Amino acid sequence: MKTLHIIMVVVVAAVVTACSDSDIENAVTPRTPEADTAATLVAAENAVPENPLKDAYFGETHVHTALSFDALIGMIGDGIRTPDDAYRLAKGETLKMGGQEHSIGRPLDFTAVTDHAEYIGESYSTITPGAPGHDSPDLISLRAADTPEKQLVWYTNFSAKQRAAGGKKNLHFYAGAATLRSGWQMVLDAAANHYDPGTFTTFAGFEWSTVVKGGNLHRNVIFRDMTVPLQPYSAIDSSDETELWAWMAEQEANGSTLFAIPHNSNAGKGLMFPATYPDGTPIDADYAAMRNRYERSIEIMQVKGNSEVHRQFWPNDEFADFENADSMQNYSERTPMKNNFVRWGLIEGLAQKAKLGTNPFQLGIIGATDNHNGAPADVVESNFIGSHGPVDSTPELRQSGEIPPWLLAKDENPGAIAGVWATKNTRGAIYDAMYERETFATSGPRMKIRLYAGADLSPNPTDATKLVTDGYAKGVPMGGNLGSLGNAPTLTVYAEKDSIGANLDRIQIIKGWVDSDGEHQERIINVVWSGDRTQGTDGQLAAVGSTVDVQNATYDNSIGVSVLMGSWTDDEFDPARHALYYARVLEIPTPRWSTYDAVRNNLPLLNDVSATIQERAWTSPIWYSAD
Amino acid sequence: MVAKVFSEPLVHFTIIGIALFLLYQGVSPGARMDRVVVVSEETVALVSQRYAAVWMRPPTGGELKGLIDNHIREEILYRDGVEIGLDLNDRIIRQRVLQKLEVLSEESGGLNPPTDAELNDYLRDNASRYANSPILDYQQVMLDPVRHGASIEADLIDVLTKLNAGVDPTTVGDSSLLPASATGVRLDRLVRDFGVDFATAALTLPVGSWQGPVPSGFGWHIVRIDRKTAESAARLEDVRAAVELDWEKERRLQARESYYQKLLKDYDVRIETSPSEADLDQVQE
Repeated sequence: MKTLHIIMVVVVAAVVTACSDSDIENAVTPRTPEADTAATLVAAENAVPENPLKDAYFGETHVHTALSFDALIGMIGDGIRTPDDAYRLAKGETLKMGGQEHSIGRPLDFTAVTDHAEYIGESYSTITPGAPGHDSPDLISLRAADTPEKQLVWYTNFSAKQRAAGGKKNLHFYAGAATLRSGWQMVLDAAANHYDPGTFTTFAGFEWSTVVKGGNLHRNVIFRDMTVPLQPYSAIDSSDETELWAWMAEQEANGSTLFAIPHNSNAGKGLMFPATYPDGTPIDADYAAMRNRYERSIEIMQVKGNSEVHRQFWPNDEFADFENADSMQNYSERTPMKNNFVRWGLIEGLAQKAKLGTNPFQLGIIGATDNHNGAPADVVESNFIGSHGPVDSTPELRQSGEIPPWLLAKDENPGAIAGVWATKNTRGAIYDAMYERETFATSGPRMKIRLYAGADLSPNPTDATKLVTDGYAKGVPMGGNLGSLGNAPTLTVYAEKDSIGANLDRIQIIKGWVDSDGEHQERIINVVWSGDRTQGTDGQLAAVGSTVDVQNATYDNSIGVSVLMGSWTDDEFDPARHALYYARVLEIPTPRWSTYDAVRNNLPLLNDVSATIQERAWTSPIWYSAD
Repeated sequence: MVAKVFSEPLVHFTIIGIALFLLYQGVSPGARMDRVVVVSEETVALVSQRYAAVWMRPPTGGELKGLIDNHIREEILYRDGVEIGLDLNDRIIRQRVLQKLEVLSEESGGLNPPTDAELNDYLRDNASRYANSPILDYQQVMLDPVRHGASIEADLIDVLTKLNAGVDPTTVGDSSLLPASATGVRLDRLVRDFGVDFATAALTLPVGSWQGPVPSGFGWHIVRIDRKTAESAARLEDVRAAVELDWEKERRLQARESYYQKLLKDYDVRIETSPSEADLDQVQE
């Protein structure tokens, strides 16, 4: 009997241990969200009321999640943040990241998650148990690299290999196109799940991340709706932007609606606004037409610096010293040059228009972050936890570290935010506004700015609502085109501070044109400002002052004003000359993120970066055409 | 002589012992399964399922053979690894086991979907999280103290008086694009447009007359609430999905915690350094 017992026990034990590992990881059934049918979605979008005078919507058009391989490396050990997590953060939720509970603050109105197309498959393999390639030895060791030191080794290795291959090959543990498509599907699913017409808009998107001779020529591609290809287009497919545009044309033929946003021209090594095709032949009308059709805005500022202007090349612009990110020139020989900057590119567009008939650089202005923590629009200066995972995740590292291979951490900034004037918060309305260039960028705060131009606009507006209704009825808004005029245009401008932010200092208008010698010309006009300052005969206006207490990282709103409204008529108007006008509004000085870091952590203030900044917004230009 | 040997109890015990030992060797899982790999139908199905989950189609005949060959190779190598003790003291394996146990412990609280009664209890206990926002219809007029300087107080009183006397709101105050009026506005929208101070104050205003001044980041406002729907408790049918998600999350966390606490009771924990009293207090968490 005892033996029988032994046998029974033994048999039972054998049966139990012979069971396959019960796939506990599969025991948790994922919740499948209710799929919105196309009809329900359209109905929901139609039900959202429209404001014909438009409202400003704030969002993100450039953020990286765990599907971007460089961002993924930095997330090991801190928590993988997927596109789904990025949208949660965008909606204002709190997530544990960088060792703390973090939120971006106020929810955004819209977001496009734009992961690097090149290694989405490799990232998918890394994070998905059971995916092809998941158990390759390299990825096992990557997932075990849970300290910043190990990650840095991994990252340096990764970016070195990428550069050695010219960014043109998949990584050696790439497990095939199926992984790329599965990763892309994750992007699409997250966008579908979080779209809430009228409240929060998501866009499918990706980043084409080409690097030519070390010059950054990346573009973010945004789709108007979910008619999208099976996989995105990457620099491995081609590093030539004309081929990207050709691919975009193919997608249009397949029913997609899409456009591209270039960024970081400050690191462009002179290649962002070129006079030639990549192969050296001069650009022609075809190039101009394609670029004008597919590249509708440029990202004027992000964590890796401000690309509007640089104090070295614009000594007469007193505000050109904002986030110049000088240490960028120490990496990949990215010496600053004047033709990297957006103001130069915009005016150059007028020169090329005169030659080619179409303006190849007719770019609206938009802002974004390029955050690699999966945190969209994480732009609040007083709550900055870094943007690139462990390399800038502590105050000490942000003072003394670097973000390889780009710049020193002290030269980064939390990033910029996109502002869009749209009739309602739905994909179609926001996309169309971006495509028509009725957009502005801010360096982080949510101030709002309006700009109109027309020969029939009344100067010295006092009624803001009338400024807007007249502007639409009798003129064109930012991003618009003025046809040939007999009389000088009047530009009307309105700006409103961020409801929880700093007061405003002034609104300026910048006019650009090309003179008869073919030289770029520009003029900066102070249009309207706070307080009782008077403008000198040379147009100069005294600084607004500062209430910043650097020792305590505080400021107050006892200077500046909450609303500004004014106009300027072009007293040097030449009807026979193409020109452009854009507006720039500045806040009173406030502490820079590096000052908050120093004060809160008992660290010395850095003496080679500003302790204070004047946050600002820029509108898209209005183009005057002499034709 | 032989018969005498075989009648010794010690010999009986020895023979029975050897027989038991041989029997055990024969039937024990370790002995039999060490050198036999069984690829059951369930295993084949599982392997195919895993493949299909990634590739969105079942494997072809050739692919399936490859998958099974892989499985066999893995199984044999794995057993060899375990035999020579490769699974011991490995951090990655340790973490994986912890991960699996975490899921197991979370599910020890039960897998059944919540009943309506359970959801309603949860909703009641966390009412403020799901409450329907108060909704306002309002009008407002803004005065920026920077523009009015020393006369701001007098100007505010002037505007307040005029508005309550029926003057058209668009003719008083400072011009801006802040919404002069809006209907059906939820609290979060109000906070977004004007800031928290304004929204909190607006909620306390009586309905039907101009009141103020109410502060915001823009300046001072004279505000009229035309209609107010108070915050109301959510009905389960309106917020069911969110409540289910949160209820499930809480159940998992509680199950995980009680699983661990139950295990902890059976352990004798000794710390061999000499921590301060303060450190000791935190150990049991």
